[in-house]
Amino acid sequence: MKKITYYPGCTLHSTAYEYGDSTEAVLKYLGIEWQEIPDWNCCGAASAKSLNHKLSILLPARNIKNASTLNNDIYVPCAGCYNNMMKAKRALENAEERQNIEKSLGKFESIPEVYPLMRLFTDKAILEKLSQSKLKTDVKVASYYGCAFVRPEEVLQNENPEIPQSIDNILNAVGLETVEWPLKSFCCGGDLSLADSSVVSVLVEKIINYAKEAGANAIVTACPLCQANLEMRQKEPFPIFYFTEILGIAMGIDNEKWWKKHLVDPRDLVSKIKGGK
Amino acid sequence: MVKPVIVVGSGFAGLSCAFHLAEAGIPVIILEKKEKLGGYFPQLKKQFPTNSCGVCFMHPDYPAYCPYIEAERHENITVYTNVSIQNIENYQEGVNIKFSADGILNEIDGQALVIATGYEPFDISMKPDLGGGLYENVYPALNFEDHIYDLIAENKSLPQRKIAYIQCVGSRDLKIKRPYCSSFCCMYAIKQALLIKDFDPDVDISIFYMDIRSFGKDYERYYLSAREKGIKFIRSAVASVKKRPSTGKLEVLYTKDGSATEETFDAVVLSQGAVIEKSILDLMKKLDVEIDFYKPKLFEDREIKRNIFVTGTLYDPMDIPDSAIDGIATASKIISRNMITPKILAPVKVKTQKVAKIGIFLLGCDNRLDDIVRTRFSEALKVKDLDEIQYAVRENKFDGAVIITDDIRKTSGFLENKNYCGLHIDSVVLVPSFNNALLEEISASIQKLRQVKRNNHVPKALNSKVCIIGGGLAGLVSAKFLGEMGINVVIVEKEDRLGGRLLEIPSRLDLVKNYIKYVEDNKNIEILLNSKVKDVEGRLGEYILQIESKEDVRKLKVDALLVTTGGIPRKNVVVQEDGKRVFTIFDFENRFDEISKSKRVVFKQCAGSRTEDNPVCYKVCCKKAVMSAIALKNKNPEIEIFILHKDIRTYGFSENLYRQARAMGIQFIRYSQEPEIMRESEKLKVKVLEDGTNSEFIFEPEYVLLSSGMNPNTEEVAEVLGIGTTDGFINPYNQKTGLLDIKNGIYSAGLCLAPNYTEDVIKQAEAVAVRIAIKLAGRQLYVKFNTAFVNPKYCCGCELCVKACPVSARYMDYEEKIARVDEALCEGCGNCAMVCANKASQHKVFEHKGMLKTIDLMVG
Repeated sequence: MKKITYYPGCTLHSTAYEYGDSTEAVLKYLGIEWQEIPDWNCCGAASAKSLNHKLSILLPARNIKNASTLNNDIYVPCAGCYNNMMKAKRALENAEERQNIEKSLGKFESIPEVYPLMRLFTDKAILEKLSQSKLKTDVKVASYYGCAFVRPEEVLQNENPEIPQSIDNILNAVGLETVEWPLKSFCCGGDLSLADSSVVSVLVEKIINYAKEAGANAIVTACPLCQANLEMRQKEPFPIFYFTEILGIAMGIDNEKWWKKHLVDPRDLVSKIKGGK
Repeated sequence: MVKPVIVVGSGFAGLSCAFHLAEAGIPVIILEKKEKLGGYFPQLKKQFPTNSCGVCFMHPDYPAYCPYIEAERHENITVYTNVSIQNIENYQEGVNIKFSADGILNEIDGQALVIATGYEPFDISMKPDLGGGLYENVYPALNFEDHIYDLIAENKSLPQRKIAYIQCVGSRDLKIKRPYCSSFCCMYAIKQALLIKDFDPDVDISIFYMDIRSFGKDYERYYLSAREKGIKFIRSAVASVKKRPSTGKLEVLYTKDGSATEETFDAVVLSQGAVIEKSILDLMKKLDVEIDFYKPKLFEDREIKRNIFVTGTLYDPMDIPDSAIDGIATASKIISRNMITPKILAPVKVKTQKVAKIGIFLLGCDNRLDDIVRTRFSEALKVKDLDEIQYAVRENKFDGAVIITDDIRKTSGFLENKNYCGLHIDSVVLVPSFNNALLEEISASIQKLRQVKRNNHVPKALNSKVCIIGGGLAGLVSAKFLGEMGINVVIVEKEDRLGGRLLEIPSRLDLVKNYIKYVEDNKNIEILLNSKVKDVEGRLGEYILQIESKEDVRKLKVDALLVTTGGIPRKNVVVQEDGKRVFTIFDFENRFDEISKSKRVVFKQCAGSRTEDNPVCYKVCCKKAVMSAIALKNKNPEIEIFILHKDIRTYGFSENLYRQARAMGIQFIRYSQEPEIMRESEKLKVKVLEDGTNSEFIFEPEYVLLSSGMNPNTEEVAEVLGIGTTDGFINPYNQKTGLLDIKNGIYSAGLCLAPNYTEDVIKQAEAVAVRIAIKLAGRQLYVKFNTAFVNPKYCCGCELCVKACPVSARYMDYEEKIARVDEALCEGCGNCAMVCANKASQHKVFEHKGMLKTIDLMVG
């Protein structure tokens, strides 16, 4: 049985409750044991890095330090959290910066690996397990990664920022067809969602139009900010799912609670995904 | 026995180096990785800036048949293809190389190794953000040229009506670790755009660029012509190219006037930069040569290790004319180290001989045909291949042949066969068998051959003396090389000293003085100071010059002329200034201390150039200004430096200097409206409108340095020699590949040809010296058979033939009052024979008498 260290970040317990809950349900179904980082704190989100560089490194670094006692790889569902944590990890890999960090946080015994949650499911054994629960539907979705899972490329070294594939592979494994479209990692304007919504609506409209044109019935993402932003700033109702919710549907463990959290009611589409006409 | 030189790579630089070495009598071995010779050049459909094709110009003795066949045929060249190099070892006297060719292991011991492996086009799938490798309508530029050319050839309209070119893909890009500029992409993008526009003016083309680097000879005009034809130039880096799922069209995102703009295109072409292949980088590592793409120069020296040279695009990204010259310059280094004096051949009487015994061959024809032919020509021989013909020729002592074949392609090997089956090329006729009047054709061919007066290729003797006009750097370098070769040189210098303009630049003084010393000491070199060439007549091998000095006018007989009259700094007119605070960058070194103490300096690029009335780019000014600014900043870190420019043209690895300058805080301000330099009370003021932001800046510098370039010094010499000029620069024979040849026996190098760097002037001067040396070695002066001739009895001196000649091979002999043929130039087109009313001008192969007989036979 696989054991992981889990960092839900603030959103997965609050605004993106459905992402958190569906993640835990899927993990349980797959028999993956997870432990939250003991005494975790906020990753600093967008606020810390725009105000204080040192703080923006120290906050996630503290989480890494707390996680190191568990001796497992850290999996992060939220794109922003993952991005911040990777920046702290790269800083820790630099001897000089590590010294500075240790001045504030004390000595690090070890530095665990940090991965986005998707990486857990693209493991060969788990993909095989996923493909045992097959959806029978003609619904097509567009996978959407946003910026923070893939950029900056040299820091994250995660996926090709122009043609990321992990969500597609996961969804294809459970029998959901994904369309090939160009805006997988196009910015949704998340950071400006409240500050300047006029910029954001243009970007969101473009993303949704392209997804529709490519033949998708919904967008599936992994980032809480993207999900909220895409739902909030769109014009005509177009459901936005988390990929863990789709897995939940495939496994038959989906929960009505999740759909209530959506701004765009996805229930019609959910029943179509389940195989209804 | 001279050890061979091994040339790795057979692109333009490699072949150019190989041919010149071979012509100079050094055995050459060409190793090519691919199946065929030629590199990427044969893939290019047209050449900038002439829009001409011209593979044949690769050979030094152009117009050659084809450089690849010439290389195969050349007695001094051996070609290996499908080569992979196993090991290279250099030692005191040479190089040992182990390689496999076509799967067979080989080992060669050579005197030197020339690495001319050039470049690979950048793999666009490394730029998925620009759609590279993702969408089928995002093309790599090299493939797009094929695509458009195929359509043009079939006269089909282009399906792509709106096309975007994106420059610097794989160049000037730190993210993918390619910081250098690839030098030639701007020009080939413009070339392709013009090809499309000339074919179909309605196609909408935009070129997205950072700087347009059209720095070569006449390139600026080419760029301007593209602008005039409505090609849009947009200065902006492109953020992304996305394919719209519904329409399949491409959305290009870029900045325009400071905000994000999206535009839809049918196709996007990525101008791929030059990439050095990984195997070459590995090879360099093995040779212990450090490669650092972030340095202003990739290699410190052309000779990277003892006896191992690099040339061409591997040395520095360069276009075709530069590659050609670079290859020859590398050859010159090896030739001069060999100290081979080209053999000056003794005069041999031209033998004229009629074809006596003609063989008739049936090459691979079927039996039916054999019988038909044998009914009339019982002596016809049936042969299987060219080897059998050669055997029969030797056995029967044939000196002419008629070859009948059912498949003309079978004889294509004929030209590649070095000795033409033991026959003379002019005494062979190929007859295709699918001919209705086959038998008549055969008898006609025999009759024709009987009329042929065969000439042996006989070298003409030269007394080998070269006159160099202008004793500046270019002239001195060429004189040194030719002097070393044992060729007599006369330097004619207008002023009272050698050295030219470089004497005024302190940092170059040692360089030029070394050359002067050498030239003064060499006994083969004669120096005429305070002298001018007043009059020239004659042609290659027989020029007669009138040289005027203060004391006298004297006559000089030379074989060839080299024009190296150099340039003069352009004096810029700045009103209200006495030159104390506003002066040209030419004075920079002399006043360096004074300038470095100031607080603020402005460099103004393109002062009086790249304007409507002077559309010339002086090439060197950008790099010079950047280097000067860096020197100032190093001396005095407090100094504020502003460089006002139209485009920064630091091409090749000099791009790294530009980046370094920006990192040092030197500010670059782009203008398209002429900045104003004013004097207000005692203050100097410069007002400039910045292009990108459209905002006005006013500086109060202490000094303004004007980059105004050098004008060519050609007015007098062009008139005396009767050679053409553009903007004062001498017009070469062929701008692409014959840049150093002006016309028969007249050569040029240096600043009188085009603006250039000192290093490149040296390169050109070495290259031109090699070209002159091999020309004078006699090989090139075979009396050709395929030419026109004049029967003086019938010539009335009407000059019709002189006018009809497209290659200026016909001239008037006013003493005898008849027209003559310059056989070295004549290409045997026959135009002069057609216009001649008296039948005085005739073609040697198609003499009237023979042709009339042939026609009689055909008609029956």
